Order: sequence, then C-alpha cells, then structure tokens
Amino acid sequence: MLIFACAEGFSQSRWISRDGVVKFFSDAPLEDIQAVNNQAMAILDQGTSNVAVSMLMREFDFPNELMEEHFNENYIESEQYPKATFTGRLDDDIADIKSGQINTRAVGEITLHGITKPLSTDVSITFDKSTVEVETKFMIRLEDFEIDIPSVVMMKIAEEVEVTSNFTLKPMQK
Amino acid sequence: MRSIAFILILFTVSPLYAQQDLLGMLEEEQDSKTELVRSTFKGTRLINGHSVETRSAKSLEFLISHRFGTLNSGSYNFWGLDQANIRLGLEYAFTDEFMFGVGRNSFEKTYDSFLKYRLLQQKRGGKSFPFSLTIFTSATVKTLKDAVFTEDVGFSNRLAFTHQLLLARKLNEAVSIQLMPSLVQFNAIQATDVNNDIVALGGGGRVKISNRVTLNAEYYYQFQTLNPNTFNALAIGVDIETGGHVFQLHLTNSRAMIEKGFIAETTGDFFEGDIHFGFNISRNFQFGKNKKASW
Repeated sequence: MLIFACAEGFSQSRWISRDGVVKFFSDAPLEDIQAVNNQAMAILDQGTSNVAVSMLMREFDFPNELMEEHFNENYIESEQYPKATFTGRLDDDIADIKSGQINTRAVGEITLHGITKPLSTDVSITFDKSTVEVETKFMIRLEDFEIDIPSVVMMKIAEEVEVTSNFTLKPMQK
Repeated sequence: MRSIAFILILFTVSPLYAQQDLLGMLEEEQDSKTELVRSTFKGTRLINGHSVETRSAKSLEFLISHRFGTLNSGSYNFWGLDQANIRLGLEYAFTDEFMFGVGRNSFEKTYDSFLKYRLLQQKRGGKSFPFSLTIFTSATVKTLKDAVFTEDVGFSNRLAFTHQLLLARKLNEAVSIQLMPSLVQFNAIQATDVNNDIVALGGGGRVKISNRVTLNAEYYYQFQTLNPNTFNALAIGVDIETGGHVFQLHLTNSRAMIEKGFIAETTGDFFEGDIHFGFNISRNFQFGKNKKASW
C-alpha cells in the first residue's frame, strides 16, 4: 500500500512508451536476418533515473513466416519465455533536465530466453516538452543466453546479433 | 509524510525494488494483451488430413507427398517401396486465413482442389478464446479409365466432395489436439458399393518430443461405409523440422493422400500389416512482405 501511495507521488516524473521500436540484425555468411518489434514497452523514472523495458518475443516481425516460426519455436522458445526485459538505472542524474540531448549509460540486467545477464549500454536521451526520446544499440551473444543454433544453420545465423532500440516516451497518465 | 520518507530511503538503499516495480507495471499491461495462439501444428497437414493451420498471406507452398506399398508385401516388392503413389500439390494463401490448393495424385489419376478458411483462432490473454476452427472443402475428379468408369461415364460421375470442420486446441506447448467432423460425398458409386455419403469423425493430435520433432497420430471413424471392405484410416507419424523444411514421415493404412480417399476408401487393415510408409515434404515461397494481421 505504501508503495502504491508513493508511486502516485512520483508519477508526474515518469515517462512511458508502448510502441517502442526494437530491431535486431544478424549478419551471417549465408543470410542476413532482420526483425522488428514495434510494440516494445519502456518506463523511465526521471526522478530516480530508473528504467524498465519489456517486450513480447511473439511481436517480432520477420520478412518471412518460416523464419518467424523458427525464431519463436526453436531459438527463443517464446511459449516458455514470452518476454525479454531490462531493468536498470542511468549513470547520470537527469531529474532536472527539461530539454536537450544527453549521452549517458544504462547499467542493469537483461533477461532473455529465461537467462539474466548484466548489461551496460550507451544511451542517448533527448528531452522535449512532451516527449523523451531514448536510443541505444548493443550486441548480444546468443551463447550467453543459451540460444542453441544447430550446426546445419550455423552459416545462416550470426553468433552475435546487433540490437537497436528507439523509444519515444510520453508522460505517464495515472 | 513519514511513509514517503521511508519509501525514499528504501529507493536510495535499493533501487532494484523501484526497478522491479516499474517492470511490474509494464508486464501487467502486457499480460492483459490478447495474443493469438500460434503453431498449434507444424504443418498444414496433421498426417493424411489437414490441420487447422493455414499459411501466411501471399505464400505459395509446393508439396510433394508419397505413399509406398504395404510393408507386408514382402522383400520382392522391397516392403512396398516399389509401388509408390505420389501427389504433387500447389497451395496458395490469399490471406492469412484463406488458402486454395490444387493437386494431382498418381493413385487413380485423381485431380483435387480445395478451399480452406480459418474462421476462428485460439487466443490467450485479455480476450481469450479456447479453440481454433477451420473449414475445409474439396472437390476431386478421378480420371482413371477402369472397368466401371469407362470414358463415357461423364464428368460429373467422376466427382467426389469432402467437407470438414477442423477444431483444434493447443493444450500446452507440447500437446495439441484436433477433431474433424467430416462428410464425403460420391456423385456415383459402383454396384458393389452401398453408400454415396459417408459421415466420419476424425480425431488426432501431436506431442512435441523436442523443438524440432513432434509425434502425430490421426484416426477417422466412419459412421457408415462406402462398402463392407473399407477400414477406418489410422496414421501415426513424426514431423521433423530441419531449419528450412518440414519432413513428415508416417505409417498409415491408406494409399490415398486426399480426404475422400483416406476417409472413405481405405482398404488396408492396419493391424494385419497393411501399412504404407509415406512422407510429405514441403517448400514454401513467400511473395511480398508477410504482414500479420494485428489484433
């Protein structure tokens, strides 16, 4: 109860996005694979610099159905592990920023395929009157998250994929 | 005021609580989203018959199916492998829900065509829905010139139709089940046959052994038979996915690979060893961008 009462007190400094764009790109010798999720969610608490991101793996769109099915069924196992999440904190205090762009780092934990690992990534944040734009890019190693790639498709799927995220956050309505 | 001060201390001492709280808000919202339940089965065929699955819009699937002779035909026929039946099929999806297919079967030189429409899809989350329903209808024409069907029998007498309701539910990640109420209609039957219309109820399912391998079974019970010599169709098989293709390998007492054939004209007795080894291979071609309907 206390936490709820308190959360309301902070709500004016919270920003949320429900249509964040997260892309990943796998560059392998035989095939380049790109997928995009347009419904990723993120919250930024400007007062505490805390951030949280969550997305449904099923919402990644692929150029063809078979790739999407294999991604969900074989590699990411989205039935068992439906979400990818990040929780963390920005290195800098951003509580008083009203406009302009800053570069900082987000440090925290990423959970993917049921495996949680530390992640720290450079983040660019642009404050405007009614929106906050957050951009980041990082690499993840599939092996770190126990995503098995069978040897027959080794030439088609990269061991490391590049993840690009772009969130446009709006003031959170309570 | 004291409680706010307490929370402030809590936040500074352990920001993890605050972060989990933020994540909790997001996850709560995501959990209430309605999501389509996908991949009830790996392919558009359970084994012999269709599954509830349809292909995504603008994809063309080339299907090659084989059924060999019976395993009990002995070493002289190489346990059936000398006598292959083949069906070549082309199947196109106009939308994510609606597809059309044509095929040519070497067995009785039969041409077939079908329409398949996904009417309802299982959903979970906010507005969940318990099962998927696909309607299926096919028309076939037998062109074999045999003793009964001579050349002057006329086109319409060579036709047979099948109508099916395919009802499926993915129980969990591993297990899916399907029921198939079916009606087969023959425009003309032979003197030794009894019924033009055969009502049957099919049942089947799959169990996932691993991410890439499933075990499938399918059975059609006939409420009345074409003639006293037919059996109910039984099939068991495995689906193996190799990262680009799905191979379906199966054992069945039916020679035919189309509905009117395996539902109503199966003459093999599975338990007497009249078992045909068979397989389906498919190759999918995607035209244009696959745009999944949003919900």
